[in-house]
Amino acid sequence: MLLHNFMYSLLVLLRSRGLVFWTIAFPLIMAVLFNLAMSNIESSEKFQKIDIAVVQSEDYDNNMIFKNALEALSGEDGLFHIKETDLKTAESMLNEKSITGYLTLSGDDVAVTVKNSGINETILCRVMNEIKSDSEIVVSGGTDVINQKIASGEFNINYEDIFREETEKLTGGELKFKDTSPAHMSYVMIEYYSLIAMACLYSGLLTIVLIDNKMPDISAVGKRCSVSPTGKFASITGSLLAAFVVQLFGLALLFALLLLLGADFGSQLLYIILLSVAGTFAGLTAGIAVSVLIKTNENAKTTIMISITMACCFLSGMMGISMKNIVDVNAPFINRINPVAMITDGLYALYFIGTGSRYYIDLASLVAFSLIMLILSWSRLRRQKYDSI
Amino acid sequence: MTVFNAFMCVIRRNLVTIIIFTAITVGFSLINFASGDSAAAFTAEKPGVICIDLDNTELSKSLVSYLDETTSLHDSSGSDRDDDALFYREVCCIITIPKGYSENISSSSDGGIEIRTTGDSRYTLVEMSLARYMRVQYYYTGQGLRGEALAKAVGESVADNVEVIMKAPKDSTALSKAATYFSFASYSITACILFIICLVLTSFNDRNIFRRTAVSSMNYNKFSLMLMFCCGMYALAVWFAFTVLGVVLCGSALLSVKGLLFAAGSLVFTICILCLSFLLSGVLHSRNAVTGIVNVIALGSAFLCGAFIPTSMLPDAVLAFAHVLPAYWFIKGENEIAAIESLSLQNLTGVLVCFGVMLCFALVFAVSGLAIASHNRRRE
Amino acid sequence: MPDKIIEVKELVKEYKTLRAVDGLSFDVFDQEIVGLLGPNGSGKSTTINCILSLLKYSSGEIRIFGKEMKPDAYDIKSKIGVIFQDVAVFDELSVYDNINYFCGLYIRDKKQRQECIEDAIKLCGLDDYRKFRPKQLSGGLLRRLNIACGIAHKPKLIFLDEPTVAVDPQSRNSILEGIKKLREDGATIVYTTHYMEEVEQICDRIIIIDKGKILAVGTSDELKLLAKTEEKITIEAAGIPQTLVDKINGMKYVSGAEYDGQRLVISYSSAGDNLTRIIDEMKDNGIRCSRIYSERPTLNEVFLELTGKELKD
Repeated sequence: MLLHNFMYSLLVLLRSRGLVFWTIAFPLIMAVLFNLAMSNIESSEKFQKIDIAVVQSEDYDNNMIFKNALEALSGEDGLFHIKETDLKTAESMLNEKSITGYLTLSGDDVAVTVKNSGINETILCRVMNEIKSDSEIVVSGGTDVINQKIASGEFNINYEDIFREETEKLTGGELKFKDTSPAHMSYVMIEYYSLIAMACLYSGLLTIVLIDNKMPDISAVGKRCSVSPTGKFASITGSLLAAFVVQLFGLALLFALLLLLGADFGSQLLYIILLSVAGTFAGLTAGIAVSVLIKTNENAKTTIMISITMACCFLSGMMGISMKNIVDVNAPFINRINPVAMITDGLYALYFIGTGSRYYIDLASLVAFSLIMLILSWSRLRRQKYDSI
Repeated sequence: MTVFNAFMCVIRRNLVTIIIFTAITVGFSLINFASGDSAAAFTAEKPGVICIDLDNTELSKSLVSYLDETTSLHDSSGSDRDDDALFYREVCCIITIPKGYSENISSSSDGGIEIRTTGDSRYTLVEMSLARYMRVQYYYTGQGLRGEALAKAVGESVADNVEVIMKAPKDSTALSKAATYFSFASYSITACILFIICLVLTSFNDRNIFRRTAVSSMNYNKFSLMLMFCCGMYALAVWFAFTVLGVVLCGSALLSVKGLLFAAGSLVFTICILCLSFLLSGVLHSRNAVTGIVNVIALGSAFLCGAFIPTSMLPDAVLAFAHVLPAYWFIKGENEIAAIESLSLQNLTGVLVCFGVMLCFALVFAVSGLAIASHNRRRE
Repeated sequence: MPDKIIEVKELVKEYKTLRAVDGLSFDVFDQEIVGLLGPNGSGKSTTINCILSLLKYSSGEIRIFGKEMKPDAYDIKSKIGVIFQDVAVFDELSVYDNINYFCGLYIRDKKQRQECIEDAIKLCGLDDYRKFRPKQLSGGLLRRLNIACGIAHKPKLIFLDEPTVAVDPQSRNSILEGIKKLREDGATIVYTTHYMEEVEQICDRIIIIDKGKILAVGTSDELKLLAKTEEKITIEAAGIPQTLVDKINGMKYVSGAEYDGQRLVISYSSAGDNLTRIIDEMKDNGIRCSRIYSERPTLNEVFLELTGKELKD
């Protein structure tokens, strides 16, 4: 009987175009959209050389220290692309945003002209400060050395060597901090994870249709099923299995597409699958709850399920990943009861930290969520006689 | 009046959906404005940094206070939370000052500092500032300075003292916030208008209802006009609501000529979407099809045109493709309005071109929508 | 006396303010077609849903095949077939798949099921439409599919809840023939409708219900006896004098006579040789009649008389 219900539920699900669209096609479309929109986002986050201009002047031509410093900064590993030009061109380049800012010299003083206050502008200003204060330090340090030498009666002084030595002391030598950065930092993965979570939740749409067809107080087909000698649970279990299979098929397609698009699921595919299965279970039970607890027609239930899922996705970072962090920090409670966030967070934990307590807590939350949904629906699900039909 | 009532009925039944879209827009804007999300982060001067001081000496404290000046220091709240903050780009790095730092600095310039980082451009700034500090400190240590004298000398040397001239309009941040708001609102406007109007029109276009209307005593052309009028009123209401919301969220920056331009841009976009919904309702025949297609169109153009992600971060190929979507021109227009310095016809050309393209889209949608509608009617 | 298939005793179903079924008691015997007749909202469907254990009822007792009916009485359920008023089929499944699915809820054995399905398809005349989806079927075919889904498992007891609503005469005829055929094969049938002709055509016994109460039980002929008017004779003739009309009014069994100048309508409270006597009377008075005809009361009139003529719902 289980098999009979399973086979026919499968047939019903696969033949209804709306369901196939939402549970299978829509996540695939979204995956492609994400990929298109975000293929650039991480490289654009990396530092890129800053374009600046230097206004040519007599002061500039005479200031060899400054010139040398700039040359060092525009090398291969340097921070800047530097253009030497006149004031008017520099100004128009700044207006067209083709440069971040330009430098002007009057005497030994550098002035920086920028248009906004941003990271690149800040870097530019700080570098100019560095050049200025470095030369001050070197001059005062060098002067001290010279004074000492004179005081100790040594008059054969090579000034240039002394200043070079001081400069060497200040800026020479490799300075590298100990880097303990995490290996996995791609936040596009979070978008993919929220997509997987969304797909899991959409399995609720499948159960809405199936359960509606089992409940005599909701549909005529439900009445027909209720007067048959097949127990409600045998038939519901068969249908749930069918929904499960359809959803897993959809998820498999989604995973395949994501892998094709270059997603990095690491070596923990098994754990990811385990979490997706739990997520699908959460979606299925959420669908049961919507179907049983909300008294309205199937279309309205579908809209409600889609809307709830979309809101949950938003809160777990699908439309901008920082949202999830903000909710986690400011209102952690919300994402503790948000199944999409549980799935996303579990996948994130796997990717970023590895299997650990956080992953298992998320997994357990999903199971708990599903059980709560089932308990909420239980009294109406098991009812066999109705007050009214 | 009957048409209007029927229209209101459909809206009432889908109020939840409208409210959710509106709430999402408000939520998105609030985050964007409050936190400096990835979009705004590139223009923040003080990148977020978490500093964990395990040494807790005078020297380490003076480093922390230097970081406090040059970055926005976040409190550490356990390594898991810190890592979350790093991953979600709330901070660009976690700097750990190890125990024994003040002894280390005389032997090595890096002082044994450990850094976890995202490696983005904000970190480049932090790394540069930190490296400079450490170099100067190392230099003075070599000169024999220690303790308070060392901290003082370093502090004086690393202070910013170069003259910076800022050539920028004063309200540019407020306006770019407004541009971000309207960009995101394009998604909500598209979804709210397309979804509701397509639902209404498909239910009126339903074969049986269409026939019932056709045989009723009502003049069919008058009926169509009424229907279009209702759709137009609804679209206007949506536009008005989102514009008012924009003023509420973005504040007084929008109560200006530029604010009017923003509103005008979104109005043109609204008209464009309205025409698109006339076209779609001629093609779509069921509620299921409407929800599906509307979601794909709304989300698709939002992703490809830069409603969710700033256009500057989109790949060129995507942007090139996005030219065929009205939302692209809308978002481009709003961004250009934000960038205008002084109002002159010359400066406005770019914006007007965007508006014009949107109107062309609207015209194409309207004409093909009418063609399909008359084709449908003839087939009856 | 044949076996009692259904026994309903003192069934009461109350909604908040409404008593939908009010102390209903009746029996249904083996291989009988019983018609449940009543206006809309009289409690027919409610009664059937109570018998099927879908609805809770306030009090009363229901036994089917001699056993108490409960939601999990699967042995009883396996012998029941129900055709609901609303078409209850899957839009996504073809005609054949629909019948197969619902039949499969009753019969596990594939081969046996196959035969049952073929019989049902033949009985309902759906042979040419096996692969069709419900959306592609006409109203009559859809109703026939609805019936096929309910009876494919060859139930011993069949409930038909207005199966012929909105069906053309051809389809209706075929459905009614099918129902008779089912009885011939040994089934007991409870049939709900408000089409009088159908009831007269196929039902052995009729139960008339209104406002949750039984108003009358009996065969079609028994029920007609309940009518106040037993026979109605209409005479088409010109120039009948008022004196004659008055005389007729005073005749035996006559409960009323009215003349409008063209037609004389005489109602009799009892049947007999009324027609001969009135023809004699006309001859005696030298009145030339163009037409004379006699009508027996229809079930429709009995029904309206019992349940009142005001609109229901």
